[in-house]
Amino acid sequence: MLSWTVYLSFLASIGCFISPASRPERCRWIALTSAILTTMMALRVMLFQNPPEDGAIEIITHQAWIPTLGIHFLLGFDGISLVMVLLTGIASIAAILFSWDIETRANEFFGFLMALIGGVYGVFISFDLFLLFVFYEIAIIPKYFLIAIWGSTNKSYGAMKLVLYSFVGSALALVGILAAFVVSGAESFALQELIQFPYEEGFQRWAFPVTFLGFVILAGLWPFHTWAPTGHVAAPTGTSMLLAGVVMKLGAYGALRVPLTLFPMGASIWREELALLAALGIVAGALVALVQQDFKFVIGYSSVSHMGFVMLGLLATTEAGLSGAVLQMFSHGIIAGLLFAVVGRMIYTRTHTRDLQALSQFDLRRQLPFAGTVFLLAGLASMGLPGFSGFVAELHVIAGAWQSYAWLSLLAGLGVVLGVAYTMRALLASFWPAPHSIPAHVQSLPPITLPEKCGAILLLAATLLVGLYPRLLLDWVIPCLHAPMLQPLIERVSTI
Amino acid sequence: MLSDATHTDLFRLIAPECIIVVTALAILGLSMGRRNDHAPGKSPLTSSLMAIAGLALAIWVNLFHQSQGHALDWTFVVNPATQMVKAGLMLTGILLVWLHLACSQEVREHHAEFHALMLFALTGMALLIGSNHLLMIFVALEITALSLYVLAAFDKRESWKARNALKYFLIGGLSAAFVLYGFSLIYGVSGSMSLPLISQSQQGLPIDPLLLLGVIMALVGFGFKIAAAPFHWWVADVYASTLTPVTGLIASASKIAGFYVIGRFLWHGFPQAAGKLSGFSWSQGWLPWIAAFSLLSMVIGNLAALRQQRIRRLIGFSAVAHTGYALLGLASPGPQAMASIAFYLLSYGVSVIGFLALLRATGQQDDRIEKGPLTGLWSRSPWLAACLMLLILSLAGIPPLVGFLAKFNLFVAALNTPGNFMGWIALVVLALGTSAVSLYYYLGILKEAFCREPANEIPSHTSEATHSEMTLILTCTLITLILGILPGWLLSTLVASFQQSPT
Repeated sequence: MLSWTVYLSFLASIGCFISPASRPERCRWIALTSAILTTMMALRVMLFQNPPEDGAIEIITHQAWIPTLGIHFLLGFDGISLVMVLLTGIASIAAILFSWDIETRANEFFGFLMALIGGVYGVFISFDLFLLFVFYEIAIIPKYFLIAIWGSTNKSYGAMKLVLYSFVGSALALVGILAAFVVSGAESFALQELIQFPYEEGFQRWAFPVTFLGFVILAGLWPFHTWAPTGHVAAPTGTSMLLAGVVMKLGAYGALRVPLTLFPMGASIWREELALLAALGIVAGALVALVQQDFKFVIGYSSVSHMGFVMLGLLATTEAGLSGAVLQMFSHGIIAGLLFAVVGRMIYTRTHTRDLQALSQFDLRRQLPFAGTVFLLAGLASMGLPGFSGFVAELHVIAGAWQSYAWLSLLAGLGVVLGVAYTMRALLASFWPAPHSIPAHVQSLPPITLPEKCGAILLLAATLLVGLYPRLLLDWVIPCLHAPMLQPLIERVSTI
Repeated sequence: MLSDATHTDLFRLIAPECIIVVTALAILGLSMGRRNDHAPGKSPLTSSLMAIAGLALAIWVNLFHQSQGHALDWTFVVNPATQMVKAGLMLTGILLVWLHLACSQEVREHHAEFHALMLFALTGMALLIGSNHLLMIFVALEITALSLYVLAAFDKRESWKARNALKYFLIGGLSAAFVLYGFSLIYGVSGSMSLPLISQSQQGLPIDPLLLLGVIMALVGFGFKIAAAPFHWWVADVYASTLTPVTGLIASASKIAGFYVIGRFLWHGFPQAAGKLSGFSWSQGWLPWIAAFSLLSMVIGNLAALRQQRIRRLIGFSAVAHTGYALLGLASPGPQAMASIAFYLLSYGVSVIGFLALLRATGQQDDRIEKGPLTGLWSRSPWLAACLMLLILSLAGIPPLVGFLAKFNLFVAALNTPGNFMGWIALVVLALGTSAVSLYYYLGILKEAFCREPANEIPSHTSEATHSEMTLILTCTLITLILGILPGWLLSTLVASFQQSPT
């Protein structure tokens, strides 16, 4: 059933491409229907199926694909995959709702968007590494066109930079996958078979950092993050929501699935250095966000900072850290989507400026009270206020990091404080400016539309629900951490 | 002296080549009988259909009615592998003739001669694939080369094109001299011209430096033919100035034959002299040389293509880069590696023929036009734009298109080479890095087509591809897509045929 998330998205993509450009509403509905259906599939599994106690992978489809190389069309899922699939579903519904007003070349826009979503779903449910890589690359190319055609602010540059970074990253990841396949002499690319082989330490010493860096370039690890803010700012709103919301998660998810699972020995050699980069990313991203004048750049850099938490959690390689990383992926996916939606769609398309100084002219709080409320709530969620998903996630990560390297969790804590600072700054400058800076006659702005309200409420509901009842996700995630696949990673750390 | 039985055997073995030659002669003869065939503006339909029919018949005979074996003391071999590769060669031949038919406004006269020369070139390539003897290799190489020289100079409307054709001819002659000199050294050392006998004569002996010199010189000569750096200077000029089908012939078919013969020459004639990759010990074998050519081709081809504004020249340099990737497959003699090269070149050939046809259809006639005609293609002709995207992404090696899988196969083949894992992994890393570079210029083409509004000064009719052109482009695109998604059958067949062909 879950495999239909992939098929349906690609079918919707083709459907959008071949529908006439003169009928944009048809493409919107095709895309929205497909996104809702795929989300329902994920929800159905999550709500009506009991998580397997041993965290086993449930295989959905297993077909020989390229027999000469032992490549299989192997789709399956475990709790971590399921959480990510659900995130993709929710984020894609919201992204489509916030792209509702796209009129120019709408058929191509939704075609590329659905291809991107299909690729993302594919990555999350592939358990053959070749297949995973194929979906990973499929997700790269649509991004270029989405940004370069429908984007703003330096769009050609942003799009090309983002694609080249992603491609270089994926190339490094491919080197690791290929090397593991050749060295192990395995007959197939299936993850389950590749982890059987005891890779020797000398091999893991170089294979782990290469593969890990390859994946986390896409997750925005400092200092390889520079593609992220420029790309997010250049992208149209729906695409930035997906980019920050799910595409960056592809990198983190890939890092967890491939290098951390295959090369636990390499992970224990390099994890301290890499965790330092992750923690520096948290602080650096937050500091840069603190001084940005462009509202979208504030959100772009805050993404870098929040993704730092994900990677710090992964590299803590403790149970708390890993479950925190997965929660943070979900949480940030939702919150970043919300923030980009408010800034890029609700504000920018009405005011045509994102400059924090200029925004104070519009008296946004009175003109767009809905946007103000949403941004306030999203800001609180982003700061990690209890009750929202961000709190649970970052708490887990900091606790996990504390077990592994206490001093880095101090840096992460500093990142949380800075997060409050830059969010408050943006909030005050945009919605609560000093009264004297509001001119007497403000230009009136069009009201918030229905699709925007629906999308915002959906995302807010998701972050609140997970914040109040994290077990909804944790019940699925925790057993996976006890599964034999991740045991070498966690045990190795506890013995050090 | 040859007995009658040997003659019959030989004829059986070269039946497909004979069919092609007879077709070529028939086309020539028919056109001589009709005087006004040479008149300008005449449609090439008859000649093209005859050529396609001849090639199709040759494929049929080659695949299903061919006796396997060898003739004239292993001079000429037919085995499942050569059959498969020849079938691929002739299929690209059919696509090329179709390409000529589709854009016949390019050449307005002498269609019969043009077709005959294309078929002669294909015959030479087919013979090259089957040859197992130095002299035979040289003769086949020259049949191919002479036909290609004439074809390169076929368009006599402008002097700069003739100049480039002359350049091609002179460099080709030079490379033939290299090959011949290398062969003579090999013969002098080993006392034999037949590849299996050369290999036997060297069994157990240390590598003779003179023999290695001969091999390297022959490799230099071959390097010119397959456009490997640093022997690639002619490529961009020739790609830019030749007629579209001829460019396609040089880019696809001649590489298929060239690579196959290099693989056979090296791994059947001199397996002991392969050497190791470690530290680039130049005098220890030919493998370091192959690695070096591959490295240079990938780097130079991609970096040079980065700066090209003119699209035909860009294809030329990217062809050099593709040669570099394919050279990685020569790392090991196994069936997997050989099949990966064949698969790669076939898929590259189809993509590049489709791309050339598309350029022709959008009015990209020669070197001097830049990317202009592609600008805003999405609004003028969405289907052509979609084909362009798929073909380009296949060339760039993006899944699920065939270009990615083909490259992936080559990487696996290179990494599976016994010994010196780190050296090959460095080359694979370089190949992947230069692929990222290539993505920049490939996306540049797509940017023109998708992200720009069409310019006003371009007359609207330029985008209207004829039905024939459209069908050809769609066919190539579909092959690219389908082989990418379902490559299993072709790959398995290729690997199996190489497994059954030890000689």
